[in-house]
This record gives sequence, C-alpha cells and structure tokens, in this order.
Amino acid sequence: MNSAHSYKNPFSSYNANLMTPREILDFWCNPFFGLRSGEVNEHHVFNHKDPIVFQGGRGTGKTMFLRYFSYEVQAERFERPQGSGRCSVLDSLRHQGAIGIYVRLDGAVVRDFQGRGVSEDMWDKIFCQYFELDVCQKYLEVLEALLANGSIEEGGTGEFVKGAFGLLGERWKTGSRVADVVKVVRRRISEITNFRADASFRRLEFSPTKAFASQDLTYGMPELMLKSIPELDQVRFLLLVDEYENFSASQQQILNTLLKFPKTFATFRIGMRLEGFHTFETISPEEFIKRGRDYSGVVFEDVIIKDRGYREFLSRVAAKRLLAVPLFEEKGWSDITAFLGKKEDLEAEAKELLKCQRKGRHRHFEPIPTHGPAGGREEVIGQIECRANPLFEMLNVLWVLRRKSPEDTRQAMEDYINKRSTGAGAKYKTDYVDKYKLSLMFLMASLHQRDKLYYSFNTFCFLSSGIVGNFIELCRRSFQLAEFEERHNLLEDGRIAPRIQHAAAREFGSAELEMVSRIREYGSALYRFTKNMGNSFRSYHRDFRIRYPETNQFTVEMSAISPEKYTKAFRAAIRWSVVQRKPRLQGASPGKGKGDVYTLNRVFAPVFQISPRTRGGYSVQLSVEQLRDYMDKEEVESPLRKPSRAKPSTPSLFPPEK
Amino acid sequence: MDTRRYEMTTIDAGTGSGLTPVDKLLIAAGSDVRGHRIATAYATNKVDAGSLLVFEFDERTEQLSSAEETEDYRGYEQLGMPVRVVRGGIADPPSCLKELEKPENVLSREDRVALDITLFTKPYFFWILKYLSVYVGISNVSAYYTEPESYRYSAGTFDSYQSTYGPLHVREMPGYPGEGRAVGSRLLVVLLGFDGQLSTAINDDVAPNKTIVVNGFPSYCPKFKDISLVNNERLVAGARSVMYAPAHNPFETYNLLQHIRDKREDAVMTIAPLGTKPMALGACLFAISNEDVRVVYPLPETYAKKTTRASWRSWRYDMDVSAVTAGG
Repeated sequence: MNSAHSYKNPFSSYNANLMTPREILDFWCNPFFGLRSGEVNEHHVFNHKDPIVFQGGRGTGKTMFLRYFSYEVQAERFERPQGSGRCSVLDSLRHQGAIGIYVRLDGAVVRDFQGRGVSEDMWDKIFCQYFELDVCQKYLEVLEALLANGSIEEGGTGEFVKGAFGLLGERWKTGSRVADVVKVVRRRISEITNFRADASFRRLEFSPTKAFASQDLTYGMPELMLKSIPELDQVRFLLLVDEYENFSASQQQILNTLLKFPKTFATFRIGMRLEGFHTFETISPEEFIKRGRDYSGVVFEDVIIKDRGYREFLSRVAAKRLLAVPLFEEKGWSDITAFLGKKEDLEAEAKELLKCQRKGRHRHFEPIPTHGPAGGREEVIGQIECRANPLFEMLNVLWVLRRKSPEDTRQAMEDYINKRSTGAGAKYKTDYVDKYKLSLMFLMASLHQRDKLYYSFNTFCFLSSGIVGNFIELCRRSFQLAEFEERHNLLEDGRIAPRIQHAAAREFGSAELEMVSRIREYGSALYRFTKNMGNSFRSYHRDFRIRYPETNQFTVEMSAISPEKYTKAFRAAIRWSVVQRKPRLQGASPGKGKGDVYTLNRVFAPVFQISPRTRGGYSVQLSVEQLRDYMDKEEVESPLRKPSRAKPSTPSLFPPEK
Repeated sequence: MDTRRYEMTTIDAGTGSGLTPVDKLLIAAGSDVRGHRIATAYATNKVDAGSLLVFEFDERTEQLSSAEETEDYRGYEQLGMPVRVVRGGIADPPSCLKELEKPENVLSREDRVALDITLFTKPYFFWILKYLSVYVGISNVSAYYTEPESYRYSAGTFDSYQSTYGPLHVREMPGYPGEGRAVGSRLLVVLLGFDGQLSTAINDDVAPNKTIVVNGFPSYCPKFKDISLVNNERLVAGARSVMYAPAHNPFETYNLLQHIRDKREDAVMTIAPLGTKPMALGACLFAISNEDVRVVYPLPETYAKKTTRASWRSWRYDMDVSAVTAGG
C-alpha cells in the first residue's frame, strides 16, 4: 500500500490512559532527562525510599510518567529482545530497583462514596475497604503476570496462597491457587459494589465478610508475597497512585496516613494536579504530612520551564510521533520545526495582512490625529510610510504619538535600515527588535480588525504553557486541518501553512475556554474570571501607546482572598491550570516588592489576541475586590484607562520631544 | 441463546391508537409541550391510565419564570385524572424514594405500569426502571417517548448545541456501579449526543483502554448523525471505532451493546448514554440485565430549559425488565 494512503495523524493518540504499554514505550520521553534538575532521573524514581509527589497541570504528562514506571510497561520493555544476554522480567525489574503498581480510581467511583443516607464516617470506612482491596487486586494482577511469563513458579506459591486466604478472611482449601485468591478479592469488592448499588434504593447496613483497615492489604499483601514467595525476596514495590486530587479530603486523610508510613518494601509515587492536596492531615489526630519530611515534591511545570529544556523535550516528543508514521519515516521527516516553521516571521505576516486589506491599507495610521502638532494625518503618513515593512510604519506611528516629529522618525528608521551608527538608529533598533515588534503586530492586527496569527514551533511551545498535552493537541489539530485543507503540502512538502496552524490554535483555545465552564469545581466563576482577565490583557495589547507591552500576567495576594469560596475557586483555577503560578517570586512591576505572579494559561492567548510569551515587566495588580468581580461579573471594566484616540493634543508651551 | 420478542408501536395521539391501559402512568413535570402529549392522549381518548404519578423537581419549579410556563408545567392538573405528586431533586434520583414509598404512592408488582421518559432526565428514568424491576419486582413496563421535531442551537450553529450548563460532575448512575473490578481492560461505550463537551469529560474521567462510539443512525433527521460526529470530533478522533444504532429504537441499541459485549467478554464495560433517550433506554435495559456493566453520566449544574422544538412521533416500547436478553 502507498504509505501516503496509510497516513495517520501522528498526534492522534493524546491520552496516556488510552495508550498500550507498547505505545507508552514508543512515545516515551523523560520530561526531566537532560535538565539541570537532575534529581528526577529514572533511577531516583525507582529507588528513592520516601514517597515522591509529582504535581502538574492537566496534560503535563503525569499519567504517561507514572504508567512508564508501572509493571505492565516495564515488563513490555524487558520482554523485548535485548541481544543475547536476556534475563527474566523479574530479574530486570529487580535490577531496576522496584515493581510499579499503577493505581487510578476514576472520579465517578471516588465520588460515589457519599450520600444516600449513609454517614460520612461509614462511607470513609467503606472507601478504605475498597482502596485496600483495589490495591490488593493490582498486586495480584502483577503476581499472575509474573507467573504467566515464568518469572515465578506456581508450585512455589502454596505458602503465599494459604497466607493470603487468611489475610482476606477466607477459609483455605487444599489445592487453592493464586487465581483463587483473586476470586476471593473480587468477591470482597463485589460486597462493596452491591452495597453501593443497593444503597440507592433502600436503607441498609454495610456488613462485609471481613473489614480491612488502612495498611492491612496495601502493605500486608506485599509483605506476605516477599516472605512467602522465594523469587520475590528483596523486591520493592512502588505504588503509583494517579489523580490524587480526585479523592475527597477525608479519603486523602486515609491515603496520607499510608504516605506517612512507607515501608522498606513498599512506597508511593503520587501523581496529582497542582493544589491537589485537599488536606495534609492523616487519620491520626494532630498528625499531618509535610513536604521535605514525609515526601518530596516535584512540580512538572516548574522543573520544565525553569530548566529551559522544554523545547528540546517537545521536539523529541514530536520526533518520536512523526517517525511512527511510515510515510514520514521513509522520508526521514522527524523535525517538527520543518512542519511548523521554527519561529514566527512577523514582517511577512504584517505584509500578508495588508495584502488582504484592499481599501483600508492605511488603517493602522488611524491613531495619528487628523490635525495634530505634527501636521495633517496624510502629510504625516507621507513621511513615515514604509511599504517594505508595515511594522516599521507601526513603530513610526508609535513614535509620532510619543511626540517625535515625523521627520526625525523617518530619519531614525532609515539610519536603522541602512545600518548607520547613529543614536536615533540605535534607539529605533532597540524599540523595534527588543521592545515592541510583537506588540506592534498585535496592535496592527487589531487596528485592521484581523487576528494576529499564532504559528511556528516556538509559538506552540509558548502556547502549551509547560503542558505537553497542550502541545500535542495543538499539533494534532494542525495536522488534522492540514490533512483536510492542504493534504499535498503536508504529505509532499512536509509543511503546514501559518493560517492553518493559527486556525488550529484558535479552535483549541476556544474549546479549552468552553471547557473551563464545565470544570466541576467553580466552573462558572472560573469561566467568567478567564474571560474577564483575558479581555483585560487584550485591552493592554490594543493600547496605541503601548504603555505596557505584552502584559499578560497578574498578581494577587492569595492569603488575602476572602471569603473562602473565592480562595477555593482560585485554587481550583490553579489545579485545572486555568491559571499558572510563575515558578519564582517576582516583582509585580518594576520597583515593586516580590510576590507570586500568575498568568492565564497561554493556550487562551489566540482567543483573546494576547501575547503567548513571557516578557516580564508589568503585571496587572488585582485587588481582592477586583478578583471577586472578575469571578462574579459577566463583564468588568479594564484596569487600563483607554488612551484618547486621534484627538489633537492640547496646545503646549513646550516644543515636541525630540 | 435465550431470545425474546420486543414490541415498539407508534402512538396516534388523536385516536389513542397504540396506548395501552395501565394502573399507573409515571410522568415528569415540565414545560416542554412534548411532556404532556401521552398523558393528554390517555385523557382525551379515555384510555385507562389508573392514576398519574407526576415527578416534580425543585430545580425545574424554581426555573419557572412566567404564568404561561407555570401553566404548561402544571398541565397535568387539567387532565381530569387522579394525580399523585412525587417530589425530588433532579440531581439526586434516590431523593424521591421517601415520597415514592408513601402508602398512597406505593407501587406493587401486580401493577401495570407505564413510564413516559420524555421529560425525565436520564439518571431519573434509569433509577426508576431499576427500582421497578429489582425492588418492586415488576417484570413488564411500557415506556413512552415523544420525539422532538428539531433541536435548539443556542448560537444558531450546530456546534453551539448545549443541553447542560455549568460545571460537570461525572457520576455513576445511582444503582449502576457495575462490578467494581478495576483491573483488566476498560471499555467505554459512548452513545453519542450533540453536546461534545459531555463526551470529552466522561472519556477523560473514565480513562478507558478502548472507547467505542455509537452514533444514532438512522437518526430522527438525516443531518443529526453528522452533527453528533462533528460536535464530538475530539472523542471520535481518539476512539478506535464508530458503530451505529437507530436513534429511535432502544432494542437495537440493546442488541448492539450485547454484540459489543460478546466480542469483549473480558473487558470491564462502562456505558455513557449521552445520545437519544430511546438509545439510553436500550442501555438501561442492557445494564439491568447485566449487573456487571457500569453506567456513568455527567451531572451538570443546570440543564438547559428547552433543547428541542415541537413534537414529532410518539412511541410505546414494551419491555420485560426482569429478564431482557438479546434478540429480536
């Protein structure tokens, strides 16, 4: 078959939960590999004795990361032929340092342990019972797999089976096997499930065959395995618990207790959203868990963004996916920057924008007063026009608005173009290259009532906001649209037009914004907040005088937020990566004291037409009242006072600034 | 294979043809005109409906904003039938249990019961059918459903359809937790609706190893099948297969689910009935007869007041809820 006919979007598998172990291995890239934060290497994850908590926004790759360390993926890895000296899966795992047990309870299950006239205490007990049995079931699943691949002999498990029956409160029968233990566990779980079903229709007591307390099976079952199965001697287990934020506060108390008391043979690796701890308490009164003492923490975005290795990471992620497409593999197309372009070409974009403006080519000159101190608008345009680069024209408009004369402005521009080393030319260069180029493009697009385009690998890296899932989705949508609209360019030339990339970015941003309103915690408030904050940033990007270029971050004193529901809503915004906290404390604005600085997730940038990059400098300072307004009101006034547009300035005694 | 015949009949509301005499007719109160069509047909054609058990939901009552809406909502009072009102919270079906078990409302296994699912939310009629089947012990139930003539799109475009608003909580349908087994392959079957946000939320929450998408085809109107695919683009792109079942036929949905089940016996099956109510009814019957199947649903903060326009055909589905199995 022609490989073009078998083309499949390389970014179509985006959900790590849906991937097979083989896909996980094929697409695996360690997000921390090669970064300066070298403490998070594979050896450390397998061997560190204390629990490690991995926090990150939705799509940062936590599930991919945890699943990679699970038994099913590592077994797949070691079952692949590795030259002549191939050892058993169990030997390989022992050499790695641990066997990973991946545990994920979906939100629908976790949230079902409440209500229906059953007391909260009782539900917590039932949940504890369920968690113990669920983890137990997963240990046994691994044990069965080790039996199946010959790492363990069934004959050597008799003592274990007998012990497991005792542990589970079941009478042991001669000839029982591991499969029978599994059946007992399933029966015990069924008792809980039946109760959950029946409790919706009638009042009843939960009376299990045997009640399990915390640790009975999560630690009891592996301890028994190690003691009674010779092949497992000295093996360690990692409990890889994903989506910890799904557990309620009282459920987390139960699990926090397990975290606080890890065993030499079993410890935890937790995956959770930012702000995913609802409580640090344990089930023992006055005992709580503390970062640094009871567990170490890694925040995906912090490490990734701080380390500047993020682009390389995304590039490697994309390369693996591109090479999984036979057509691209044949052509050796593994470089995502070839498809998307490395960086934006703003000059070309500006020219392209004007091409489509048949009648309104001069619209971006409109901020110039029709009759100002510098003369009539047409006269000024004659001086500062530069058909070769509309962005120069835009900068010239800015200079004129800042009271530079049109003649001096033109001179500075020409000095810069002709590389004459004059002070004015140098200032022009600084303003154009270092300060305002992107802002000018935003302003110009807004004056022409067009979208600034979002395209290129560099821009997609910014838009993804440290979240690999966002990057993959941006690519998926771009490749999908390209396949539909410009299949030839995609498959024959290996290029995706900026227009298509922008459409993908805009669609994705809009879809994500819509999804904010569906977030189960404070979704409506967060939707209003995002819209208001985005529109507020947008107003800064439409300011003719570019007083605060590319303003896209804000500060708020988290500890001062009240009442509590707003604090909780703001925390939920962080948990769902609607808002991201900058890794380091920063000055809110030049000259201000240091504090936490936040950004809206950059994925919304195309919707609001704001800069996706971090420029620093000015941050909008939100008071607590403003934050409440942003969450409560459909529309709020921008904190930026609108500059007067095209008004002649008042006559001045002083000459214009030169 | 154990098989049984099923029956589905169109109703002529003018003559009453297709209506079956019952002891209790269960309906949900609502201001959508479709909701009273069957009860009105019983009354005007003098077909015996016994008493009318009307489920009223606090959330819907609070939303009533005009005298006209209130009149529509309480339209059942004008039918001249004996009425009993059962009140509950729309988000919490078990909340009506207390009122349902009052001596004057109580249902018995000998009762001939019909349920008009048109204005019930899906979690509610799932809960009621299981209640009737497992806890009352009724084996035969007739379900009525009146199709909409068309749907409302808030911004005029197909992708702007929204049946629910505000934050979503993905929940298990009360009474349908499945077998609770968390190991092995997880299979999610999504009966597609128009609201793409719901399917994405469910897929993310359940995180299955495999997702099968079932689209309603033939649909009420030819374009509907395409709208559901377009609006669920993200889910459809990631799903491993798309299958079809007629939008108006619960029994075909049942059979399709059975077929899927037969091919993947080992998988832990979860169903998300987001499509038409008849398709959801098929999923409900399937889940009642396969207790290990889990049903999940996104519970919104609020439901859209009106999502449809006018009435189209009305159907009666006769079901044996005690032992429904595949076949036709």
